[in-house]
This record gives sequence, structure tokens and C-alpha cells, in this order.
Amino acid sequence: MPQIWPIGGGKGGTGKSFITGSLGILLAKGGYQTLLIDLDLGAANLHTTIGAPDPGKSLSDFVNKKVASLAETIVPTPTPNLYMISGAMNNLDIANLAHEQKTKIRREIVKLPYDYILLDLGAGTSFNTIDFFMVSNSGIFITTPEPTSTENIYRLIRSVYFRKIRQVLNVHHFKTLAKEAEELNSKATVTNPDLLLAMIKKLDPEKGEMLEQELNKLEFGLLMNQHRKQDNPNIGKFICQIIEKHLALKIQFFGNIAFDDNVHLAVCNKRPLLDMSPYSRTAIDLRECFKKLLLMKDKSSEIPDVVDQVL
Amino acid sequence: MMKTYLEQTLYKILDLPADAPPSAINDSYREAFERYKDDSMAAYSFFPDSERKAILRRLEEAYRTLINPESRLVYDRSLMDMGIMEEENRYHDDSKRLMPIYDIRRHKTHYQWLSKVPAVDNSRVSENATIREILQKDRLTGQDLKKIRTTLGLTLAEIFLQTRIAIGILEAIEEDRYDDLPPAVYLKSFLKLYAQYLKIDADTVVQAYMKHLKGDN
Repeated sequence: MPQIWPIGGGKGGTGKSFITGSLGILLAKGGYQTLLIDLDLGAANLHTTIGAPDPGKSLSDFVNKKVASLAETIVPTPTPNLYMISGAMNNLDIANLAHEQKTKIRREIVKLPYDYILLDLGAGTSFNTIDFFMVSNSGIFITTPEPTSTENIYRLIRSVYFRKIRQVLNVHHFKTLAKEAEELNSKATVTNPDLLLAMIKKLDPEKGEMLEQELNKLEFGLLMNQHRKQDNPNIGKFICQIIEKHLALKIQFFGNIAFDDNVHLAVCNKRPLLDMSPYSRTAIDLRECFKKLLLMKDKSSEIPDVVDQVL
Repeated sequence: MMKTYLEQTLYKILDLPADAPPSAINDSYREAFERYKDDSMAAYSFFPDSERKAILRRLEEAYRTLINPESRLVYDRSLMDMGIMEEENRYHDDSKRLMPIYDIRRHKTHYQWLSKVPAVDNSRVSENATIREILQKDRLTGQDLKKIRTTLGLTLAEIFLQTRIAIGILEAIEEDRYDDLPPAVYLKSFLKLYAQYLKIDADTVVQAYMKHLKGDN
């Protein structure tokens, strides 16, 4: 079973593709068979951050049924052990996947024979992004120390979390229970998870326990990218504390990643930063965060048994 | 969800255990304030302004209540009445007990213990036939130095404590491990210190040992 890490961020330009590419390279260099999937459909450029040439094949071949399986769209990259499914495509219609197409992709992803699969997701809270977070129990969120970015990361984390709750409620026929809870206390909706949980526990202790267990399986992490020297180094920690206190959701802060002109230089040269300037501040920070990420418990390998049934 | 957060005890609000000392209350309040203050980026857009202000007010209330020993006692009593807190979990200030001035226990550092290593008796060196015989020699090997030391009944550890020459270096000198020796400048001053401590003539020892080194290499 592969470990799947969906990587998303609320706002465009926060460095999702850059970090996905860098983490992929670090995993591959650590000897793990790693696959990167560019799901930022319509704005795909993951291949550029890892220095891969125009792949020729892409996800659209699978969606358009040019090839029979998702595995056939996988291409190797210049880094050994690292493989990629490109999202680069010119079809206009593909940027908005239909529900069945997403389900099809999700089903194929969990079957692929890799140690780690990293999903590079698009910015924002569109269904494309949220749906792919449902593939795994883990999720990595990228933000920057700017109000626009924190605003959107909260929006995204809330959306993903609430979608998870809905998913669990639907699958285990909790829906009626949730309705009863809402009647009991009008504030107990999915937007107030801890109150909802308390109400459901009151109504049906057994199912409340189950919901709590499902939610405890979630392994979310936050990365603060583009951190400049003059920025408050605690913002990331504070964001995680606020989420934990007010959403009853555990989220781990993986660290700050320095803002560095070397990143711009590397992207312009179409080469991975970790190869081009391995001792830049950003590269050092990336390796530090990577170490913490690897320690993230193995829960993410547990694919939620609801992949087929999501909404 | 907000309601549940604000309904928590003042200790919970500040993330503190019931027996937190005042310094921890200070630190905790400062950090919490940073989190929710007006221009906090982390709180931005997460709460409506009114909610955030309510949290700030509650934090301040928690801080003011807990930092003052009298109001803290009153609050603790109310928690104990509700059965949320036990008497033995309360914070007790141990730092302000009366203590006689002359009874302050001094922490003994190992430097004081150091001075207990005995100095070498001068007469023992000059009267000892073996040592005199060795010092007559033109060249001194590490073996010779070791013999002087063992005749005087000293251990390497004692020499280290007095001279601060690393034991590894002392061993290298005595065992003639040339590759492990420090550069000549340091080696000479080490030998000098070593000789001074053993109360033997420093110049003789340095010259004779350096001669032995050059002759060997």
C-alpha cells in the first residue's frame, strides 16, 4: 500500500509544486519509490520544478481513454526512483473533471505500486482539490506568512475537514444522527465539529466514538513557505494552535522554509533547487521539514474505505 | 465551538496545569495574546472580530485572576467546590520560606575538590635513586617519564586535574605514540607543565624528550 500525501495550499503561488517536487526528490534520494501526480489541472507545472523535460504523456491521455490504465501515463524523471504523471495538457475541457473521472483516477491511484505518492493539488477550494484530499488520511498544507495566504489556508483546511466529517457521516449512515444533533442544538453542524461530536456522543455513544476515531486518524501538517528573516517565526505554530483549539483538529507544524532568491534562479533554469544550490537556506529548511514529515505516523497508508462512495 | 472554548476553565484557556507558577502564567498569557491580538496574522479571518475580542477579554480575565494570589485562591476554591480541582493540585509557593542566612547550602564545584589532589613533595623526588638515575640520561623516552610518575605513585587523572592536559595526550606521550602527539610548540609547554608538577627540572625534561623524538624520527 502506498503512502499518499495530498499537498495543497489555499492561494496560488505559495510554492505547492515547488515543495511537492522537492519532497519527491528527497524521498527518491532516500531510496523510496516515489510517484508525483500533478493534479493542478489547467495550471500544471510540476515537471518544471523537478527538471523533467516535456513528458509527452499526461493525465489527459487516461481521462480521454487514449490509454487503458493510469499506470501507462507514468514517466521517469531525471532523478532515479522518482516518477511522475504530468498534468500538462492542452485540452481545455480537462481542467474541470467530471465526478466519474475523478472517482476513476482515485481508484487507480491507490493501486499503484509505489512507496510514496505525492499529489500536487491546485490552489483554492474547488472540488478538484477537495476531492483528491479524500484519497488519504493525511494532508500537507502550504501557506506563506501573508494575510491573503493564511485566510485561504483556513478556508481550505476547514473545507477538507468538513468534507471528511460529511464523508464519515454519509458512509456510516450517520446522516440521520447528524440531523437529530442539529435539532438538539442548532449550532451543532459540520462547521462546529467539536459541538457536533459532543451532541452525537450524547445521542449515540457508540457512533460518536466511531466518528471520533475516524477523525483522530487524520494526519494534517502545515508548512510555512517563503519565510523571510523579518517575519514572525511563530505564525505557523499559532495557526496550528488555533486550529487545534477551535476546530478540534490536530495539525502538526512542520516548520518554516526560508524565502530565497536561489529558488527563483532554480526555477528559471528549470533545475531542482536541491541539485542546483543544495546548501542554500531553503534547501536546508526543506531537508529539516522532510525529516519531520517522514516521522508522520503510518496512518496515511490506511486508505479510507470510502474512496468509492464519496458523495 | 466558540462557546465551548470560552466555557473552559481559566487554566484550560491559558493551557496551564493547576499548579502552574506565576512565571508560567506570564509566559502563557503572552503567547496566547500574540495569537489573538489585533494584527495577528494567525488569527486573521479565522474568527469574526467580535469573537476574537471576546477571546482576548477572556484571556485577560484569566491572566488577571490567576496572577494575583488572592483572586487565584478564590477561583481555586470555586473549582474545588465544583469538584474540578483537588486541594493537593494547587500551586504552593515554596520560594518564600524563611531561611537562616548562614545556612545557605553552597554547591560544591569540582574545582574545590580539585585542590585536594596533593602537591608532590620536593624531597621525595630529589632523594629517590631511581628518578635521579633516569634524569641523568641524555634522552628521555615516554617509558622513562611513566616510570618517574609511577615511582611517585601518581595517576594520570591526578596530573590531568592539576595541569588540565588531556589524559589522551598524556597517554600518547608516555606510550611514545608519535602520530597522536600535538604540534611541537604545544608539546613543549605540556612537558614543561608536567615536569613542574612532578617537581623535576622542566628544561632537562623538555630537552631530553625532544631529543629522543628527533632521534627516533
